[in-house]
Amino acid sequence: MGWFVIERLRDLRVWGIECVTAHQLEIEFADAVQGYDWVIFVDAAVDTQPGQVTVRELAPNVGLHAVSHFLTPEDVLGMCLAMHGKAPKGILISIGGADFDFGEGLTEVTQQAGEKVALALRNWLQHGKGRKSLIG
Amino acid sequence: MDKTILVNPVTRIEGHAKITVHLDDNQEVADARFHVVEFRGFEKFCEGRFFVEMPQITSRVCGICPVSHLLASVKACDMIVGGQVPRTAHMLRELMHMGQIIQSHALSFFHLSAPDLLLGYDASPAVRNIVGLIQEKPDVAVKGVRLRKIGQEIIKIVGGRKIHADFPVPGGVNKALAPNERDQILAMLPEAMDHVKFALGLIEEYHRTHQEEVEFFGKFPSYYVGLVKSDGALELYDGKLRFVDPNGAVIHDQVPTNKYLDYIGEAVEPWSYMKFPFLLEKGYPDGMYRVGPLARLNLCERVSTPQANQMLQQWRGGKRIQESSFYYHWARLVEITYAIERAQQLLEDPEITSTDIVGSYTPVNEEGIGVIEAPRGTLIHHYWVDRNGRVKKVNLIVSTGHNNLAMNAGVKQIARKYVNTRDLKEGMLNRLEALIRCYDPCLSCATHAIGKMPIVVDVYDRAGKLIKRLERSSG
Repeated sequence: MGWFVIERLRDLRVWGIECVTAHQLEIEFADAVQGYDWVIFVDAAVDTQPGQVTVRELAPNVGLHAVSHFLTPEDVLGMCLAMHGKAPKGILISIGGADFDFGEGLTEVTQQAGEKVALALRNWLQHGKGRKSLIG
Repeated sequence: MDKTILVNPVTRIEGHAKITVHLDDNQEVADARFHVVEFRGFEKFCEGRFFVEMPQITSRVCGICPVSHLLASVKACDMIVGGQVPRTAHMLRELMHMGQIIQSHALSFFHLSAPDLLLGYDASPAVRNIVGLIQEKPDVAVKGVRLRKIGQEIIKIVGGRKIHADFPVPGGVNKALAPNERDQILAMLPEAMDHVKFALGLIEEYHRTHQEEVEFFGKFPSYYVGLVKSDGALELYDGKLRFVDPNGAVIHDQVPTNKYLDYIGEAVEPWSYMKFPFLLEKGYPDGMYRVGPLARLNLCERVSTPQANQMLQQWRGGKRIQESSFYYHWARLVEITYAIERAQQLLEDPEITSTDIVGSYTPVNEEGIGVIEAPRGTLIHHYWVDRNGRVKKVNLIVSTGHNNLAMNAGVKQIARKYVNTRDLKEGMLNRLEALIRCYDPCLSCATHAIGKMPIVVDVYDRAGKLIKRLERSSG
């Protein structure tokens, strides 16, 4: 899901951002995000309705588990803060998944949601950064 | 009445585990066990799949060492297709593996074990972790992150992805290395060497200042198993098996990897999902052996790259064998050095950018065995297929499994030395965990289980009654 949105953002050629796709969050992201103003994490969610989009601001906070398999977006920001004294602002965008079985491509409902998120992100990044509401 | 202590969950390892300490009538430690309490069953559900799918399926065993499974699996598939892997493909796979050694060992040293080494075993678990390390020693944490990042970048540049790359295929690889990619990796290696030398300074200082503990910690006689080159030098990607006795004498050498079943058996115990490999000729459990960095440095004649070979001599300190499990940490740094030097050798080979990268792809053999030295030790993938290439049976023996008997021996030794059942303190239990971490076990791999990282320590009396439990949340 996250990959789809980020690839769409790449296609939309939004100026001033770096698009990164990854299978899981890793400890080196804590170093890589330093120096950026914002980090926007996009991923599928298992605990919301298919296609439902939620947006949450993130506070840096490192859990004791944070070493390898189980980094959260908050961990990444928290480690960045601990290592470098400051961390970017963070937002987590979650899109409810519909089908987590093996297969290629997205379901129609999640693809539509992904398109909506990519366009909203483009608009927000180009015009509305700093406003509270990202997805209206 | 005998009693038992339970450490559950063990933290800063990959997977779920617990430690039980069993007491006798005098409240002394009679036994201790390291239990792995998860099961996933990769060997079973791979049956029926087409063999070319196996690298992608089995690499999902672990998100930390997918490259090791990928390469062992694809080597087994090479045997099934019966073709020669082009030299460039062989080199590119080895280069990817060097990236894996760097990133996995860096994570183990800097972020899993450094909190013990730099903050102390008696520090509260609330601070003796990666967060505490970052706060207390940010320079150490940053160097660890950057060293691991270099390893991950090598994997990504060579294989196209950091995790679950589809780059190695039966008979070769599916992507050549471009000259600019070669130069990009070469440019990263000096920084990697700086970081590993920094880490060597830390571990040498720790050995100087904690000599008694270092020499005692998980010290016991065992056999050692691993791959070596034809001249007996350290080998991580290919080579043949060498078996060494507790005194360092070679008992079997240059054993073809497809003969492993003639030498290694697997026992099971009702209290753990992880199997217990042992040397067949010595029986169970006397045939306990160790694999991984400590074993590899104990059994090799030398290291084929200059700086790592010099470090090997310092690591040995004039001894033929280092028995203490604590030497695993230092050994990892010697191996990172080798991986950096070896990566440079491979990148400077004119054929590294050749496009002759894939050979035959048709199944011709009904059996394939792939063996590699993963960061944690010898990794064996063994597949039996039908004439159409459909998998009939799978046997995976992973690094952590090989070390199962040794980890149990170490836990027992540490429990007897440090656990005072009349006055249980956190530091005692921390040492039990630290012994396990010497082996950097990946329980996700060993049981092919979903990885989380907690551990529990339980204390039982002889009647099996739980009298004490210490556990910490993983997050």
